[in-house]
Amino acid sequence: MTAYSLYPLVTHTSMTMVLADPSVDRTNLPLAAVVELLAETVRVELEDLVWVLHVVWDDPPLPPPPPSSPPTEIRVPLVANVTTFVNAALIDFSERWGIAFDQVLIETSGIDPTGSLNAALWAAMVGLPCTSCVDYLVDDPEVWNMLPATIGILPLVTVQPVALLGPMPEAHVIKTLLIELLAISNSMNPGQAAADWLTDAIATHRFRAWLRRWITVVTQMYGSTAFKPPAWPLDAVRLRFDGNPTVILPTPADDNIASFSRWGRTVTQRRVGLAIGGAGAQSYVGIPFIEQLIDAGVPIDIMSGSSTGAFITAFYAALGDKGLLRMLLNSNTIGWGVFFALVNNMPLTWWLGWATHFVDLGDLAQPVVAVATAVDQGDAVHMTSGLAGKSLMASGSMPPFVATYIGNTRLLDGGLSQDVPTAVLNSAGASLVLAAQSIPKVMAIPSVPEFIPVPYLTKYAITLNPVVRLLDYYRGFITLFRQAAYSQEQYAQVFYSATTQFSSAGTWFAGPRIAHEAANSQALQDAVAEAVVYWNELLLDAPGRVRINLGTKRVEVGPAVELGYVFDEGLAQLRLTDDASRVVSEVAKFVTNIGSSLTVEFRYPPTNPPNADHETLITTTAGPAPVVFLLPVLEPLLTTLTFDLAIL
Amino acid sequence: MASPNPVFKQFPIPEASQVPGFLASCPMLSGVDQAELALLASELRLVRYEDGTRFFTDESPTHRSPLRFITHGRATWDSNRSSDQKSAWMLTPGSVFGLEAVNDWARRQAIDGVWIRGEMPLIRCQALGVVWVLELPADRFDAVFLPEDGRPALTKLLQMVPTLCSAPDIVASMRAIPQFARAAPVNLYKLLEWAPTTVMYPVIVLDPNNQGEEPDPQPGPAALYYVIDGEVKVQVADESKSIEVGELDGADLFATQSEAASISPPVVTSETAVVTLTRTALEACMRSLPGFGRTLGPRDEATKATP
Repeated sequence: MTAYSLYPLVTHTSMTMVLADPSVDRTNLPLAAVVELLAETVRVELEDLVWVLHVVWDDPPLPPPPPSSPPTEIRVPLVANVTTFVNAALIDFSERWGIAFDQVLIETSGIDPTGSLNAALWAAMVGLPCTSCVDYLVDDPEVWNMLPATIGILPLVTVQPVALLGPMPEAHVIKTLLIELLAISNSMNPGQAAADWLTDAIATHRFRAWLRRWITVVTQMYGSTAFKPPAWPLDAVRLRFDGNPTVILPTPADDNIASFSRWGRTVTQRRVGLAIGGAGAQSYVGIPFIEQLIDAGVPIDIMSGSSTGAFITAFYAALGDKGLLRMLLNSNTIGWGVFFALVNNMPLTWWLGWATHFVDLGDLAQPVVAVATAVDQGDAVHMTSGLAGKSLMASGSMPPFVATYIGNTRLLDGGLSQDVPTAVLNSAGASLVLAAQSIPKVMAIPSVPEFIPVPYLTKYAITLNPVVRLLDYYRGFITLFRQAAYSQEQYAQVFYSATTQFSSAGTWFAGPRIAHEAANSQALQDAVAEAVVYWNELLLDAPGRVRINLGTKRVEVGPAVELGYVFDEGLAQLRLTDDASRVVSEVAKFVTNIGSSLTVEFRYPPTNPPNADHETLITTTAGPAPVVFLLPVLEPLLTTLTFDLAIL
Repeated sequence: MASPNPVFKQFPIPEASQVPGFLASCPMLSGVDQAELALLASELRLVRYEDGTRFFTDESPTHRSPLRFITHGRATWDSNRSSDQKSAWMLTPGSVFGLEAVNDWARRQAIDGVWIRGEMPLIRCQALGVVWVLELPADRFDAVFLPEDGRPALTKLLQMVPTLCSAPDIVASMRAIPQFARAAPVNLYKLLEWAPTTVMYPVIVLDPNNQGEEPDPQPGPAALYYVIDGEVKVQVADESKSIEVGELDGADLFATQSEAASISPPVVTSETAVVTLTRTALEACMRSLPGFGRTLGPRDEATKATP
């Protein structure tokens, strides 16, 4: 077989333009500073080489920047066609400076403070010689849904939806109200305090918000979709900013830090998805999995789950560590709710809603995909909006427990169609998918030894025993489920198959014991260790990456890039490897552009020192670029002649 | 067809100047000139479908189904030939669906280049969120595809039919080779939108004086071939490869130009249907899908880039 190149050579940056829809309130969103902060986040947290280009009007006209340093602005003449000019400038930047950066962020508020030029700027991203993307900020899903009608039908560019979430809905409304009433009654002048409270509540539309929320919750709780909010796009990155995110004094808000981190991972295609499979109380293995991943420094950007796996992911997304604790402390409550769900699942639905603060899945900054099964089609349904409690109940409606209606769709447990929903995480933009498969092998039952004779009629009586048959059915169900869950391993890089000593899918009181046992299991530790390795790999460059680090002046190449020589049998002479030929050519073009020189340092084994021919091949490939050969370095462990490149 | 009528809304015909540019940027129509898309563009209408709309449920689009180009949003696409999980194969902006309908229509019109109807898989297709499409109603196929002006687009669309029918098998084959082993299936399905199926015929030497002599070798495209019917022989460097039905092989897509120059064009001994994935297509896909390039190649050599 021909020796294949295993990796493509990547010599160009990626470009991302950040645009905000005209409907977005920019009062607390200074886009230029926000993009700079995003770039800084990527530099610090992900160690990528990032550059920010601001698109501004060339008013007053300024001379072009010196060619020795990358421009920070694209200055558009007032009379120019914005699309054509910006497109040409981006192509030029990519060709001149693309090799020096991993990521270029383009910010346009200087030319377009209101978003009225979005279509023209979007079109400027078409036809770039590098990977290009538009990050489009919206604060309402319906604005995103109407985009073709508002912005038009534009040539294709990959568009990353960026959802700007509002503040989390008020939690503990009654508790808060009681505290406020207590404060009023204890005040010096209760009458005046009550009047002030009432005035403030009216001014801030608090009653209206309560009423709207109450209607939304109750109607959804009983299956109506009349007030169900529209869903964010599946792949949207969700940001929740507390005030102006660029104001970092005295300390930045936690939500802002987390939002920039999530956005940074999205821009650089490093999102991590976590899927937790459903298996009743056995899904509690997902709790230590989440805890240990976070402790190990593996971020979680998107989550999916079915049944109890969906409970855990939604509780974590809504309440953080407290959500996981709430799951642990309330395993008996859930157990009773499941018991009653044989005839009515509303008690459990209300509890799930209350326990998640009646939050909507669309309000969660960490998107959760709760998976259920549509009975009529036998298809998986991916729920990313709607009342979390109701969606979770639908995701956990395992027969023989009652089904859940959302609208006119009758839904059953998500485990029936996708127990470990991994593929949906790929579609939602996760580059690394971690999964917890919670279904254990059925416990072995002691069998009668072969040497003990059992009469045929006894065996026949056992086969007819309804209790035994019910148990057989249950165990067969679990076994099939487990097999099905493994079919979803192919979409995940890390597939944690949980093992616990006693499997207890239906005994909810055992949830904390299962979580504790899993937390100390070797399987979990191995899975977390594997996840850390994958996450660290995701932080690295592609093996075929070539870039010039302007800070160190070195040409950095991935391990798959061969900078050396081969003997060409056709030409019967030595030549540069194909990688080396292209890298030298690209770097030479770069140094010519900036008026610098290319430096070459040979590394050679004792048997193959460099000579004039080797140098000639490089200078010929470099063309007009000045080349400086440094003193070669002897490296006894090398078997072939290689070289390093740098710029002066 | 499961009618999506209750949940769709039609909008005015979009600006005529915008649609050809959009169509030309769709992977399945890559290579077709904007001018040759003008007729198609003039007949398309912009339609919005609501979340959850089921376009097809266990059926193959017929000549009565419209042709749709997704401009915004996404839809799941499940073939009964695929064992992939729902949402592993997604239609995204630029994807075209309803190609089987065009094929069915073309078969009824006795147009060359159609594929056998019995081979079409049954499809489940559902909107995941709001989906906007440019839609060509089936009753406008005659007006768009019968004139000569519409033929380049028709030819290109028909070439995509077998690719999409065999896509689950092709993706499975791709995942079995090191270059694509780490790539997510959803991206590989997208990559196939740049990979048309062509029918190759044996070369017949017409010059009696030159009979028996090998023609001068010309460099072929750096491409991977997936054979749907027949057998393909390719010569890469000094190695000759025979690719049979259901196999994926060919040139090194990551090879540099000097290696690509040594690739000979594929040779067939009988009529052969081949899905061709060129290096140009791969590069277009890498530019279009951020992060895709990073997932190419096997895993074990991925270590930190070092000075």
